[in-house]
Amino acid sequence: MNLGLLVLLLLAPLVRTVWIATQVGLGANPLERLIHLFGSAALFVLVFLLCLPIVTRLAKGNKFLQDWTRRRRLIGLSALAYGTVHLGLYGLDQWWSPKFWANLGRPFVWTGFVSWVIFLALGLTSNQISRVRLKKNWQRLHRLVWLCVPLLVVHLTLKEEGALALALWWFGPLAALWLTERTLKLRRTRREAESLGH
Amino acid sequence: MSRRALVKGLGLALAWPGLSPMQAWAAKFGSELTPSKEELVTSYNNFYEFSTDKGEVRPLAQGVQLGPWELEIGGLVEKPLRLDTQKLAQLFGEEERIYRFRCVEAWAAVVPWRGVGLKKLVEMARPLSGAKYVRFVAHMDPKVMPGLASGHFPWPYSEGLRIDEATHELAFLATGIYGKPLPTQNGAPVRLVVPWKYGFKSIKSIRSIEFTATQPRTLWNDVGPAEYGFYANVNPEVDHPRWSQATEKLLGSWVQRQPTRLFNGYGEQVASLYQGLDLKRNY
Repeated sequence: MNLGLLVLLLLAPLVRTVWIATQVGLGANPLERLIHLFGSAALFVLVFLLCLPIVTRLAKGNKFLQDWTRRRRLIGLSALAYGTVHLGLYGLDQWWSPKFWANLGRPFVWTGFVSWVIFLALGLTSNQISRVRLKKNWQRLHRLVWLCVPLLVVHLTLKEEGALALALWWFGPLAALWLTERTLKLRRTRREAESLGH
Repeated sequence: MSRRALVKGLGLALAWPGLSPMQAWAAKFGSELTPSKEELVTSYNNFYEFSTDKGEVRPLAQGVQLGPWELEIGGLVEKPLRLDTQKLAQLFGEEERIYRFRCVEAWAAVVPWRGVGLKKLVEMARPLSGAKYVRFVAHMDPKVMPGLASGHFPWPYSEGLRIDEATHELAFLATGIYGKPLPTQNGAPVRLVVPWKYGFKSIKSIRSIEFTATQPRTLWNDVGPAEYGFYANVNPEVDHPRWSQATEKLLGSWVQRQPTRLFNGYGEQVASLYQGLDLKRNY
């Protein structure tokens, strides 16, 4: 049941994309629209992935969320899958451009590309064998996921004019959750310090 | 020659320019132009006063009527004017022109416009000798244009041309497309069309035209001076900092791109305007 709901949630952006492509239409610039749809799909799953452990910690002892948190590998791999399609379609769009390689050096492009490389590395090492082999380094490597946040904020901000709002829309909830947790922790330590002092 | 043949010949001669001004224009400025599908041109629009999402503009503009209104023409002119946008065709003579349209975002279209030559309007206003530039200001109504709420842009939208650009034969004020009045999302009731420059120069829903002595500020130049210059002439050699301008994608195309041409292919007509100007520095 838990797993079923999770799979539904992870498939939702794909269902939406297929529905738009077949029922609504992709519009005058179809490939660009598809690139955007898969990009937002990847973002949706990534934000969900990053928010989940915080929400789980905030909602102490919620079995349902704990179960989902344990299944982060599936969530991460889904984000990687959407991101790979996003990148692949972009490559298809740009391949015909004589400036294909030069374009890779533009911050708008490489921030997205590096985020994908990070996700690929995490995806490839997400199995149990790598976890055992890499030992302590596994944790270190997988903390790189947080590097994707500033990279993607830049990626989204450079997408079009005024797109900082877009970056905030995607990463605002994560920032809000992170701040909430920090504030609560700070209050708790202060209260503990006070009670110790008395 | 028989009388009948003469009449027939006369009829043909009269019919020739009357029948197809569009074809005559096409023969003069590029007969290879096949207009893009109307649905594409009227559904994929940059009109930030409504939305920054090109697909969202048409739904938001649905049911919103812009104009008619009185176009104000002033500044350094002998004769300030107020012209009813509905009477432009009658005043200056309506023409149909098929132009290539190239957006700075590297997509392109071919659009059959209907409207009047900007030159005729400039001549009627009789600019003073000190008038060197023309400034255009767009309509701004937050009640019907939700995008205006974005504090990111110094509204209203404004654009500018050098006076020799504004009086060039190709500079055009459009009031219609595809034989119909301009839909709201395409800049009703009247918009500028400068086919050798990136689309953002072709300001939509114009309220006023002002003649100035100095180069006017423009919205995009204010927002991103490193990315959007005053000239904004289409140029495959000068990249946008975030993407290449070497190629463009015609609306409706999936992957196929075509090479972008200097001055959007109108070099023969306009290159002389920029003799001695460094096009890389004056992008």
